[in-house]
Amino acid sequence: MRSEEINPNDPMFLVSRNLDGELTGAEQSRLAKLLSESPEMRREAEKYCELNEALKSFGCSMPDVDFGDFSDRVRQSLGSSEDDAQLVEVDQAIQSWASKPVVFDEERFTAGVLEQIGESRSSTSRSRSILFRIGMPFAAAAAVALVWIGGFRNEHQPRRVADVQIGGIERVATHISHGNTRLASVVSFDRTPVETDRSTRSGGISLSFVGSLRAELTSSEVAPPL
Amino acid sequence: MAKATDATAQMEVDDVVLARDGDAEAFSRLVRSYQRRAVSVAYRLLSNIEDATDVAQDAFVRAYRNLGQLEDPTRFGPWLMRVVSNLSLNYRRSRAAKKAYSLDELAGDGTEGDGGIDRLESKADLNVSPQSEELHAAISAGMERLPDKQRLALILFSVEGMAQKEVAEILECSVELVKWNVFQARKKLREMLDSFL
Repeated sequence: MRSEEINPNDPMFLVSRNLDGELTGAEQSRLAKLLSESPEMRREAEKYCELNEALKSFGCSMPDVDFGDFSDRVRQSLGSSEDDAQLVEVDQAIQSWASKPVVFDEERFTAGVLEQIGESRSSTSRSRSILFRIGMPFAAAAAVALVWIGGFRNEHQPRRVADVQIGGIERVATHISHGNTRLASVVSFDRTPVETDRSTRSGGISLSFVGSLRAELTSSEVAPPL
Repeated sequence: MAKATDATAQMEVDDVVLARDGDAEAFSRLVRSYQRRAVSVAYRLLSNIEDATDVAQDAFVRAYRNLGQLEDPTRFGPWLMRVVSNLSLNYRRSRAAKKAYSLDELAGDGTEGDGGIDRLESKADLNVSPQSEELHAAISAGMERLPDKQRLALILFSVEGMAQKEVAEILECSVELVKWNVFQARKKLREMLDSFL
């Protein structure tokens, strides 16, 4: 309905507005005059008045509602929407993924480590010499570490193979001083082997899991005479 | 008294801002403040208390999710009532469509137009007896036959006792148009309830 359809001169509109106490002095005078001149309009005005009272009474009638838990129900609805349900599913999936025991093919892992070591061994004679010297203890350390990692897995879970792949081995530091060689390498995994900062040692090599996606291997031993 | 009202209004604005930032407890306080009015308005529009509580609950949930669209936190009340009103009217339409379909099915002719709704809400059905309970039932049935804006204006202003300015905000129209719609609704109801008045 557009505002231009409003007819402010409709006499009954005056009656309606009078019920709401909105008439100006001039409008009240005009209405009084109209009512005094028309018994029919006076009867209608009385009916409007009755209707208004009935509407007020109608407004007081309402079935009992238990509002005690209404806000709780609204709150529950906020937490059970489709969107939220999807988020909950994602969250559960992440939790499930995170709690999945890390079980992998230890032999393959060790072989991969050795293979990577073999490749880097050929790069320089010096590194070949060092890597050759540490190769075996390194592999042993890796094997020990893998056994040690296996200790973290849930014993009730069936063992599965090849969940973890070696992403690569990168030598990050070699330091020689006073006849001692320290070598640090990083073994990258395609997923978290274990979240811990524990370390293990074997044959002069320590293997520390320092982050979620890498393990750092360090070797400390007397360098061979050059 | 005015200071207390101002403080209450400020607390409500604070709760709206907090709720907009995801504070569910702040929103719970808003729910408790407006739940009676929301259910009442929905009930006046739906004439069924179970439907009314469901729609009001849905309105609060939608309001929470769309609080970011409320530019002025001081206008939460009218904004919420607009959500309640719109959802109630939508619910009425879908319910009426189902009802009409069902009655048409019962009639077996499958035609549209003079469906069962009109038969149920005929003037003869309203003229039961001049008892107040029946009068309320007749008012409720009469309300059903009013155009949406007139019905809403009458319910919000005459039944729920809201200020015309607030009703205008809810209906998104001028105060003058609210007055006119209230008048038109009264005029039609007056005719429909002739035997009661």
